[in-house]
Amino acid sequence: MTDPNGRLCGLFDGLATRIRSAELRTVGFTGAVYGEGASTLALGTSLSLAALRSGQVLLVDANWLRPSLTSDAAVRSAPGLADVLRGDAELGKVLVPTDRAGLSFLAAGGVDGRRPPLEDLSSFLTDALSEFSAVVADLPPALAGESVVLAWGAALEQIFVVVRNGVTPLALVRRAIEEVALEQPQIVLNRATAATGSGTAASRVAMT
Amino acid sequence: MRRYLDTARRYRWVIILVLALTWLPGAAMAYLEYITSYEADATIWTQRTSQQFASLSPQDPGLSALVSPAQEQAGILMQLLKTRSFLEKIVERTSVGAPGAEGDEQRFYDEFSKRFRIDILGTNLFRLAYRARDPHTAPEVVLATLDQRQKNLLASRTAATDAGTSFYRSELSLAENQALDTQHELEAFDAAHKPPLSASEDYQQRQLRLALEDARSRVSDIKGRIDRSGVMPGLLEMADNLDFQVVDKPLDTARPSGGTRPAATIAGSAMLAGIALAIALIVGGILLAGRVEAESDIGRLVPGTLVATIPEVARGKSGRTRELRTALATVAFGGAAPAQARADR
Repeated sequence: MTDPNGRLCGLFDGLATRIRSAELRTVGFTGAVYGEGASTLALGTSLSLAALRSGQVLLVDANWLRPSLTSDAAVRSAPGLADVLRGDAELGKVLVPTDRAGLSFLAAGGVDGRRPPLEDLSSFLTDALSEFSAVVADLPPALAGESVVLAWGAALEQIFVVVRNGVTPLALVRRAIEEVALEQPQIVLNRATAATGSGTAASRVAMT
Repeated sequence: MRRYLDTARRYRWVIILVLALTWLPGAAMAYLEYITSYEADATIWTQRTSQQFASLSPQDPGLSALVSPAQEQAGILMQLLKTRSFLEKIVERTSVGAPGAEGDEQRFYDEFSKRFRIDILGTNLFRLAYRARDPHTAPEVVLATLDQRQKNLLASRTAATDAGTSFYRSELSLAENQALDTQHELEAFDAAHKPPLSASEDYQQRQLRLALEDARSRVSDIKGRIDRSGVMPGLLEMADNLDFQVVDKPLDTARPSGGTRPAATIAGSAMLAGIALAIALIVGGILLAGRVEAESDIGRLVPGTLVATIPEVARGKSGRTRELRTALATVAFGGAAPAQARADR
């Protein structure tokens, strides 16, 4: 990556490469609880995917419980995913451009205490994939937004469960995996220290 | 279960140390308690001719049951041994030694009281025992307790008799005054009426004489009662000696005795405390081990495949923590990002 923060964004290149080589076009990031770093990983991976220049990438803030990416983009009041799913807005008109070429952002949208309809997630993704080569969704924590994650899990090709190293109790991770009925959960270990395993500060990816 | 065993194996040396630090002092204290306990006891025979019901609960006086003489007397003695004044009297009469500072007084009497034991051996038989630190104090305390109980009983009966006697004395004074008044009335009547007396005068004179005799017999009756009440305490004491007989007096014991139960309690408590600490250690260890500390933990502890590892980002050269999330948001969203960047990376 060639930006002033390239060193940091490069942390996600391995994961982005893995997603591309596995030909995954729709992926989501969730954790067991808040604070795992799922939003950060979704953002970083989107940036890396866009940097790989393999096509347009859409980053979707699907965390209606705590839409932190929407806050980061300062578009909290703007229409977004919730409005698209309700049919109140068209995807192409609510996209937020980013400073990164090849990356677009879809804010969480107006929820107003009502959960947006999730039945049409598949058609939403189909529409999105007609314009974008990859869709990355930031999902709520599995134990807090179980029904949302379940719906996205059925529509996405892959969900990554983010586990914060040395902090997240494994019992919670197990429960989260059970709650969202992931058969073969793919886990990303976040904030790993040198002593955790590899002994290097670089990100490592298992090419399985 | 395997997790617990693994954790116990991992912390085995700490667990062994904890067990050693609790069990060894516990065993030493139990042994010390055993070899410095000297118990003396007295066996007491009690009897009562009438059956007696006693309340089973102070909160429910209606709930009562038939109690045996031994239960009754043992219960009374147990209650006395819970009172500070009774214990103080026993301490005064023995070589136990007075409590030290004021703050220690309560603890001293609590400890003193705990060293007594009362066992009911049958319907009429019970045993009073005291456990001391030396062989001579125990029999001394048991004897003093029985003696003090006797004194308390006598004192309460004397007080009751005194109350009755003083009542009778006031009654006697009234009866004597009444007799004197009647005597004066009769004398005045005799002086005023010389024979021969008319029928009505004769009737009146006989009425006065009857009243005088009645008053005199009441005076003599009350005097008899006062005399009898004077000997009542003696009679009751004699009856009590028959109803409460010390069959076996306490003896000096040269060998330690009676310390098995407290020693077992101390040893058992230490053992349980050690086990509890070890369990707490294992549970704590599991909680600590319940977090991912190595990449290998993922495959071993969570049903999933580790596909990527994002390393911890080092601090910047300036010394400020460089938040990864803020940096990424700046790259993606430009100037709008830093203010809202979240710290959930």
